[in-house]
Amino acid sequence: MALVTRTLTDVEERRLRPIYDALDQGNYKSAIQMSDRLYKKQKSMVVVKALKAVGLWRSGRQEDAMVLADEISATGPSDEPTLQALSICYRDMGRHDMIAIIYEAAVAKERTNEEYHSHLFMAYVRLHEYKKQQQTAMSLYKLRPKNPYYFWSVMSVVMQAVESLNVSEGSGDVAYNLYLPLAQRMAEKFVGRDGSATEQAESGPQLRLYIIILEMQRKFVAALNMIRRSSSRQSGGGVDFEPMFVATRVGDYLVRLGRWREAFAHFAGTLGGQPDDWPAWRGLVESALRGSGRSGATAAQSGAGSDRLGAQPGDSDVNGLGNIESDVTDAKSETETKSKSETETESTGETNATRDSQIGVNNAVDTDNHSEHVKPSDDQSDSYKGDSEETPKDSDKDLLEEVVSVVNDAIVAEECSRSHRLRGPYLARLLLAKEMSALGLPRSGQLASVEDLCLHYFHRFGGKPSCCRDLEPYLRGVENPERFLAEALDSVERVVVAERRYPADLANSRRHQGWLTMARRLGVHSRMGPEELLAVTRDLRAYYAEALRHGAGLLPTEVQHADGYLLLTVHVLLDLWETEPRRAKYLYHAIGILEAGIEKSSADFDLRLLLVRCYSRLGAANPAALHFRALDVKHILWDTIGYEMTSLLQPAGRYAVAWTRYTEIGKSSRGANRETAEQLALAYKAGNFAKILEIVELRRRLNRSLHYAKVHWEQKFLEVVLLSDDLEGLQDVEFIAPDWDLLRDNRDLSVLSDFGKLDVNRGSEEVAKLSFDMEVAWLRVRCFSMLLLNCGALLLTEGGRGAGEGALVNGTATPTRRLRGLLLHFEELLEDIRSNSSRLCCRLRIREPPESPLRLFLGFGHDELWLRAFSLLLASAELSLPGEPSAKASVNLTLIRDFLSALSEVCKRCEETEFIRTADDGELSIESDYLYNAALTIKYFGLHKSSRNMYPFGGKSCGTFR
Amino acid sequence: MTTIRQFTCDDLFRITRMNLDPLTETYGLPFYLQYLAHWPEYFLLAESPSGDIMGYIMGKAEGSVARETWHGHVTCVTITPEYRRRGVAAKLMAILEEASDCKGCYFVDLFVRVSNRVAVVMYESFGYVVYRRVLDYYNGDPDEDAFDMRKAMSRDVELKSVVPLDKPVLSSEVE
Repeated sequence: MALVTRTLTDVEERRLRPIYDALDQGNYKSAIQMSDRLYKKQKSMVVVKALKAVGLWRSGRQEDAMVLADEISATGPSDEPTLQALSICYRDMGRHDMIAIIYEAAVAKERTNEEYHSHLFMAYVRLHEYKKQQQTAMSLYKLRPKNPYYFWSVMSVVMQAVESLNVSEGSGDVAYNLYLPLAQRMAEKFVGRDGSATEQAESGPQLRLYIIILEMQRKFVAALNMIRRSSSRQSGGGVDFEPMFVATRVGDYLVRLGRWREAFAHFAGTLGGQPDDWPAWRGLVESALRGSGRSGATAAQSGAGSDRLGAQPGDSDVNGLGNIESDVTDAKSETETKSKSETETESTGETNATRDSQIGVNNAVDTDNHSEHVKPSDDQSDSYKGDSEETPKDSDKDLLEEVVSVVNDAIVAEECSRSHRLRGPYLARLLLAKEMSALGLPRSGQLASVEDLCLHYFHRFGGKPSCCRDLEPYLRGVENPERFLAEALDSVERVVVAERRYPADLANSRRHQGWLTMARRLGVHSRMGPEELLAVTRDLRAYYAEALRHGAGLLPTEVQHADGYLLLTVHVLLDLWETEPRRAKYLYHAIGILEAGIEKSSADFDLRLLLVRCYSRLGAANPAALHFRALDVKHILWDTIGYEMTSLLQPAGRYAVAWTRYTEIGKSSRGANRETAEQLALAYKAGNFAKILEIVELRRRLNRSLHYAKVHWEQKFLEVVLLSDDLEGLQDVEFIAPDWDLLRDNRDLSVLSDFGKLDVNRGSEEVAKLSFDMEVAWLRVRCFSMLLLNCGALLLTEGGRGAGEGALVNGTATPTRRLRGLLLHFEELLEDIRSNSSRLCCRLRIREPPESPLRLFLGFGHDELWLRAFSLLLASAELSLPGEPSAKASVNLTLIRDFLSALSEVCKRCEETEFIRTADDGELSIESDYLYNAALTIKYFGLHKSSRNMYPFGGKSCGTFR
Repeated sequence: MTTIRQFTCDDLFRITRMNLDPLTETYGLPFYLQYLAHWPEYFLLAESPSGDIMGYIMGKAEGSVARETWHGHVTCVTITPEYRRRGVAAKLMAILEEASDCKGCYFVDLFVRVSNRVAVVMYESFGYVVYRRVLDYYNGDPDEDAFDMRKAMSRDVELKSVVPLDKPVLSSEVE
C-alpha cells in the first residue's frame, strides 16, 4: 500500500512503516495489533485508526471496519495520510461516495490544497458526477493553471453530453445545443479554430479531445482541417497524431463528407505506401463507385472494421459509414461560404428544423452564435443530399476506370514482386467486381466475373487456412458451383495412395481442406442422401488419418493441421443427426471422433466446443462441463462464452455445480463498477479522453449484460428453491428486475465456426436476435417466478395473513393484493410468450446457441402449473378475508382441482416421453428433453422443502441437492 | 491484408476465439483497462476483411531513461489459429517497435516460454535475441523458465541493451 506520508514527521513515519508493510504483505491481524499498540501511545495520530480500519476490512471484520472508518470520517480529517488510508478503505468497501465526502470536507478546510482538489475530482470521476467533476476541475485550474486540469473540465462537459444522450431518447437537444458547443468553445480557448494549438496548449491529448468534440457534433470539415494542419506541422517535427490516426481519420471524414474524388486520391495515396491496407482498398472502391454517380454501393458498409468515427457509445446511428447523407452539413457550409471565414462557415449549415430546436436553448447558454449545434437527423439531411455530396462531374465518371486501373496495377506489381504475400489487391478486385455486379454495371474487359476471380484467388491463396473465410462474402456470386469446384480442385495436387487420391503435402492438404469447406458452403452436402453423406464421412476420416503425419512435430499447444477434416466429418454427422434426431447414433459417432481428435490436438478449442454442444444435447452435463473447464474460461470470457456452460448445468439437474459456477461468474459481473472506476481515473490522469468514453460504455454494457442478469436470477432461484431450508430465504429476495429494454447481448456467438450451406442457414444476426429474445423471455419468466415465491412466502407469514383486502401497510400493498397483481401480470406475460411460441419456443440447431428452458417450460405444462399453484394460494389467503364463506370454499375446490390437473398433466407428459428409446435395429438413444423436464419438475417439487405450506399436498423432503 | 487499429474497450467482447488458445492468458478487466487507459498506442488489433479478429498485441513503455532501461514491452501478442503464418504478428510487432522508437526507447523486450519453440523462432526472425533466461518465470505445474528476448531500437546505437547475460536470473530479479 504505497501511501504518501509526507506530512508525517520522520519519527511518525518510522513508526507507521511496519503497519504499512504488514498491510502490503497481507498480515492484517498483525497490522491491527500494531495499530492498537501505536494508537495507545500516540492518540493524535488518526491515521493509525484509519489503517486499522483497512486491516479490519481486509481481515473480514467488515462491520467493525465500516463503523471505525465512518467514525474517523465524521471528525473531518484533513491530514493527507489519514485521507489516503480512508480512501483505500472506502475503495476496498466499494463506497466511493464516502471518498468524495471526506475530500469535500478536506477541501473546505484547505481551499488552496491542489492535491485535495485533485483527489476530490477523481472521487467524482469514480461516482460519475460529471457536473461536480467540471466544477472541481475548473477550481483546480484556477488554483493552479495547468492545461490538464482545464481539459479535465472540458471532458466533464463532454460526459454530461454523453449522459444526457443516454438518459432518454429526445434528450439530444441538450447535448447538441448546450454541452457540446460549450465544450467546443472551452477547448477553443486552447486550440485555435484554425486547427492550430495556441501557445498554452500542449498537444496530442488536448487536440484529440477537441477532435472528439467536433466528431460528436459531426463537424467533419473542421476536424479534417484541423488534422491536416496539425499533420503538416508534424512534418516540421511535432508529434500531435500518429500517421495511422491521421490516415484513418482523413479518409473517413472525406467519405462522410461525400468528397469522393479527394477521398479516392487519399486512399490511392495511402495504398501507394501500404498496398495491403484493407480499409484503404475498401475506401477506394467505395469512393470510386459513389463518386462516379453509382450511388447505392455500400462497399464500406458491407466490410468490417470501419473505425467508429464520431461514434459515441450507445449512439448507434453515428457508427460506421451508413449515414453519409447526414454527415454532409459541414460540406454544404463549406461549399456555400467559401469566401467566408471558417467561423462563419461553421455557422451557416443550419436548417429551419435545427433553428426551431434551438429556440429557448441558446438563452440558457453563453452562446457566441456558433449555431450549427443540432445533430442533423436523416430526415433533415435528405434535403442536403444533392447539394452537399459532390455532384459527379464528367471527370468523376472516370473514377470507375481509374479504380479498375489502380487495382489491376497493384496486382501486376504484386505478381512481379518476390513476396507474393499481399492479398489486399486481389480482394479489392473481388469487392469491386461484386459491387459492380450488384449495381448492374457492365463489366469492363479489365475485370473478370466474381466466379472467375474467386477461382483465381483460391488458386493463389488456397493453401492458407483463412482462404475460405476471405472468399465467403463472394461465394454467393458463384453461379455454377459444379464448374467452380471442379476447377478449384485442379489446383490441389494429389497423389494416389491405396486407391485414394490424397493431397501431396501439407500445403495441398490445407488447400484440400479449404476446397472441402467451400464445397460444403456451396451446398454440396445438402444435396446428398444419408448413404452418400456416410461415404463422405469415411473419406474425410481417411484424409484426416493420412494428414496427421504433417503435424507429427507439432507442440502440444498447437492445433493439428489435419483438424479441418475432423471438423468437417463431425459437421456432416451432425447434419445426419439433425435430419433424424431420434437416432442418436450419429451423435455418439461424432462424440467418439471428437474425443479421439482431442487426444491428438488438445489445443483445438473448436473440437472442445463441439463436444460441449454434443454432450449437452444428450443431457450429459459432466463430460460437457469437463471439456468446458479445459478451456480455462475466466473474467470477461464468462460474459462472452459462459453461456455454453450456464445453459447446460441447471437444466441437466447439476444444481451444486451450477451454483458454484454462478458464484464464480457473479464475482466477475459484480466487479464491473469497481474495476472500471480506478481505470477511469487513470485515463483522466493520462489524458486519454477517448478511452474515458469507451470505459464508461464498457461499464454500461457489463451492467446490462443479459448473461450476467440470467446468472444472477438463476442463482437466486437455486438458492431459494433448492438450497434453502426455510421461508426466510424466500422472503428476503431483493427483487430489482432488469430493465428489459436495455439488456445487452454480450455473448460472442461467432466463436463456433459456421460450417453450414450459405443460403440455407438462418443468418447469424437473425439467430443471435432469436436466441436473445428467447433468453430475455425466459429471464422474465424466471424473475416472475421469484416474485411469486417471494410474495407467497410473505403471505404465509403472520403479517401477510393479517393484512386485509386492499389494505396498505406503511404505504405498500399487502401480500394478497400484490400476489393478485403479480398473477395477472404473470398470466399476461405467459400469454404473450404463447402467442409468439412458434418463434420463442422453436428448436435451435446444435450449431446455433443453446436453447433457453422456455420451450420445455411451456411444452410440458409448467406454465399452467405455476399459475394454478399460485391461484390456489391466493384463494386460500382470501378465505380469511370478509365475504361469503361457502362461495369461497367452492371456488377453492375448483382451484384445487385445477391445480391437481395441471400437476398431473406435467407428470403425464413426462411419462409419455421415453428417456431411453430402443429403435428397431436395437440402437439405444436418449431423449434429453425428458431429463431436462424432470429437472424442471423436481425443482418445483423441491419447493415444498422450503415452503411446505405453500402447496396443499405437503410431502417428503426432496433430498439434498448440495 | 488486414485492418490494424487501436484496440477499444468494446473489442474485449470479441477476443474469445484468441483467448481460448492455451498459451493466451485471459487477464482480469482492470489489467486490460490499465493498458488501454495508459498506453492505447501499444494496444492494437488486427481485423480481417471478413470482420474476424485475427490477433492483437498489448504492450507498454516503461523503465528509466537515466539508467538506459527505458523500453517498450510486449505483454501479449496472439493470433487466432486460422490467421497464423500470414505475417500478422510481424505487422503488429513492427508498429509497436515504431511507437517505441518514436518514444526514444532503447529496446523492446518480451518474455516467452522456453518450450514455445515456434514463438522463439518467430521472434528471432523479427530480430530479437535471447538476452537472458529467467528461472521459474511462469507459474504452473511445474513452473517454467522464460526467455527474456530483446531487440535494440535506434537510440541504442552501441547495441548495449542486447548483449546476452551469461547466467540465468531469478524471476524475483526481473523488474
